Amino acid sequence: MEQLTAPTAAAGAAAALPGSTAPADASTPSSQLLTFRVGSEEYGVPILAVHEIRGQSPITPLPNAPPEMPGVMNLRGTIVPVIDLRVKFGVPDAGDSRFTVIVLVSVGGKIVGMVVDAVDDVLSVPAAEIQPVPDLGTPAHGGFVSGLVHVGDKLVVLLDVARVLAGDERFAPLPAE
Amino acid sequence: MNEQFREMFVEEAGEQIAEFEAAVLRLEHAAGDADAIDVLFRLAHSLKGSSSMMGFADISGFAHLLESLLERVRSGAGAATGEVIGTLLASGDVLRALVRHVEAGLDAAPDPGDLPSVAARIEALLGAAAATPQPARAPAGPGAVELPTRRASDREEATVIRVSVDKVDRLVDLVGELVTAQSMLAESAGDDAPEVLAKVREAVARMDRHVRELHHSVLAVRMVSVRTLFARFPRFVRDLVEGLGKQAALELAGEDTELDKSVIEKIGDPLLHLVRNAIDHGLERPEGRRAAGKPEIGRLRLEASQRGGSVYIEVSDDGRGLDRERILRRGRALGLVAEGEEPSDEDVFALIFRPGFSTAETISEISGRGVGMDVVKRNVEALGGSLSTWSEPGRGTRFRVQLPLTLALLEGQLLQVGDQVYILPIVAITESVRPAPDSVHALDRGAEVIVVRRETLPLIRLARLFGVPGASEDPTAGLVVLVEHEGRRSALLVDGLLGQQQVVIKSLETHFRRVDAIAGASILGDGRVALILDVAGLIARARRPGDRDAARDGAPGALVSL
Repeated sequence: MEQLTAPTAAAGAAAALPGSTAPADASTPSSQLLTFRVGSEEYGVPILAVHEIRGQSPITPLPNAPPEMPGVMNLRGTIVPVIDLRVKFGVPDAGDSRFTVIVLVSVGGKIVGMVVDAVDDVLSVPAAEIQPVPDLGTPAHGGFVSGLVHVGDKLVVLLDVARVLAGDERFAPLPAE
Repeated sequence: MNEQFREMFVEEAGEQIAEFEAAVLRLEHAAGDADAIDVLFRLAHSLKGSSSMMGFADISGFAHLLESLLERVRSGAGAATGEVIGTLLASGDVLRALVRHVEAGLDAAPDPGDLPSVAARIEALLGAAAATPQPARAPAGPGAVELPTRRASDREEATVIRVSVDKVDRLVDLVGELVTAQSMLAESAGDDAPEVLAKVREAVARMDRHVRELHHSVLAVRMVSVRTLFARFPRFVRDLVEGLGKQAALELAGEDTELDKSVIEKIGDPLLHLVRNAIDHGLERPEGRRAAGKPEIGRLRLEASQRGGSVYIEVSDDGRGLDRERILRRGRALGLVAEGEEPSDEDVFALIFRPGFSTAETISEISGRGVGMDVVKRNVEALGGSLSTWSEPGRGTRFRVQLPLTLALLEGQLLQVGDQVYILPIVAITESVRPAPDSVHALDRGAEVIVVRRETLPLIRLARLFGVPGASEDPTAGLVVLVEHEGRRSALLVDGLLGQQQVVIKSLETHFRRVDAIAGASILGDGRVALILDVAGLIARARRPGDRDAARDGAPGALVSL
C-alpha cells in the first residue's frame, strides 16, 4: 500500500494527528475538526469520529452496490465498507491522486472508510464560530451538513458523519423478503 | 471481585445445574441409581465450595442444605421418593435463579423467590430432629465479601470459554516449536554461507507447518462439546411431556461431538423448538400409541455426530409422522404449490418451514408441525447450516440440522469472475465442466438454463448477477461450476478456477450489513478482500427468475444497502 503522503499523516488516535493550528482559548468550548478536501470544497468532521487515515488501499467491489460505494477494504483483518465522497458529492472527473486517502470514521460502533481527495489539517474551532446551515429551500447535501465555519478566507463545511452514511435512500435497508 | 471469576462461576454453575437436573431425572427413572446419587452429591458439593469461595452465601447455604439431603439418600437413610425428586428439581430452579442473580450482578439482596419454601421442603425431608437448619445467609461479619455493583454495559463483554488443559498444552507446544523455528531462521539470516539457503528453506517449511497447526489448535479452543447443550433437554422434555399428558423417553447420543462455541450458543433455541414440536405434534397420547400398536412411552432422540466439516444434530421421534396430504392441501390453499403440480416429499415437507405456513387453526390439528418453524430454519441458515426433514406416516419424523463445524474456517475454491476473485465453499461443489456449444438456452424473462449430460440446470452468470466487468459473454469460453444445496442444483458460470485453499471467514456485518447471496468475506494472501458466495442464496435467486437480474429491475442497490 502506498504510504501516506498527505499533509496530515497519522494512524489511530486523534492525539497523534499533528498540526493543530489555532489553539483554543481555554475558556471557550471548542471542537477539534479534521478537515479534508473533496473536489474544490473543504469539509470537516469531528476528530473524535476519526478512527484513522489510510493511504489508497485495494477495494473489493460488492455486488450491485451504488456508484458511491466502491466496495469493502481490509482493515487489519476486519472488513470495512468504503464510500467515495467524490462520487457521493457529485465531484466531476473524480480521479485518484497521490494525495487521495481513505478517512476511516467510526459511526455507532461501526467503521466506514471515506475516500477523499486530500486530508488538510486539524483545526480547533470555538463552538461559537460554527454557523448553522442557511435555509436553502432544499436540504444541502441531503441534510448531512451540520454547520459551516470560516477559517481565514476558507469556508469549511461540517459533515454529520452518520447522516452522510445513512441519508441516501439508496442506502435504505432492503425491504424484508 | 474479579469480573472474570464471576463470569467463570456463572458459566460453570450453569453447566453444573443442568447436569444436576439431568442426574435427578436419571434417579427418577431408577430410584437406586447409585451413580446418579454420587453425581448429584458431587455437584452440590462443588457448587457449595465454589459459591462460598466467591462469597455467594445464599448459594452456598442452599447447596449445603441440598448436600445434607443427598447425603441421607446416599447413605440409604432416606429413599429417593417422588417428594425427594420433586424437591431436587425445585432446588435446581432455585439455584438457577440465584445464579442468574449473580450473573445480573445486582447489588440488591436477591428476591428470595422459591428459596424459603424449597429450603423448608428439604428441611422437612431431613426431619426436624436430624437437621439443624443452616442459615441461608451467612452472617455479614467483617470478612463477608460484598457484591460489587455492576453496570449493565459490563455484560456486553465477551463470553467466557472454559478450555481443557490438553488444548492449552497443545498451544504451548506449538508456540515452542515456532520459537525454535524462528531462532533457526534468525541464526541463518546472519550467515551468508552458500548452504544457508537450504537451512532457511527448512526453517520456513517448519514454520509453515507449525503456523498451520497452531491456527487449527487456536480454533480448537473455540470448540466445546454439545454435552452442556444437551443437558438442558431431559428437564425440558419431562416438564413438557407432563403438561401434555404424554409419555416420552429421551435418548441422547453423541454428546462428545464438538461445535464452535458461538454455534452452540445460537443453536439451543432452534433445537428446543424442534423438540417441543416433536412432543407437541409428533408424539401421540398413550392411548393413541396403544391403538397404533406402539409402546405407550414415546421415543425421542437427540443425536449429534460429525462428518467432514459438518456437525449433524438430529431430532427424531417415533410419533405419527407428518401428514403429507394435509400439508400439501394447505400449501395449495396458500398458493405455495401450483394446482396440478406434484411435488416430491422433500418439497412438501419443506413447506412447513415457510413463513406463515402454519397460521391459526391448522397447527394443532395437522400432524404437520409448524409453529415458528420458519424461525428455526432462518436461525439454522444464519449459522450457515441447513435443515432437512424425513418422515413416514405412523413411524415418526426426523429433523436433521446440518451445521458448519466452525464459523471461522472454510475450505474454499477460488473463482475468477471478470476482474474479481470469489470464494465458493468446496462442500457445495459437485463438479466443474466446460459448457458444450449450444448447451445454454434462454428461457423467458432473461432466465437461462444449461444442459449438462442431459440434466437441465438453471444457469447463473455470476458476472452478470454481480455486475462485474471484464467477464466473457460466451459461456463456452468459461467454466460452469455445478453446485448443490439441499438437493437443489444450479450451474454457476465463471471465467476460471484459481485454486483451493482454506480461508478464514470474516463477517461483512461487523462494520456493514448482510449482502444478499454473499456469505462473508476473506482476506487473500495479497491482502485483498474476496467475497465468499452463499450457495443457498444463489440457488434461491436462480429459482426466482423474476429478480434474477437485479440490474434489470432498475434497482442497482438491490443487493447492497447500509
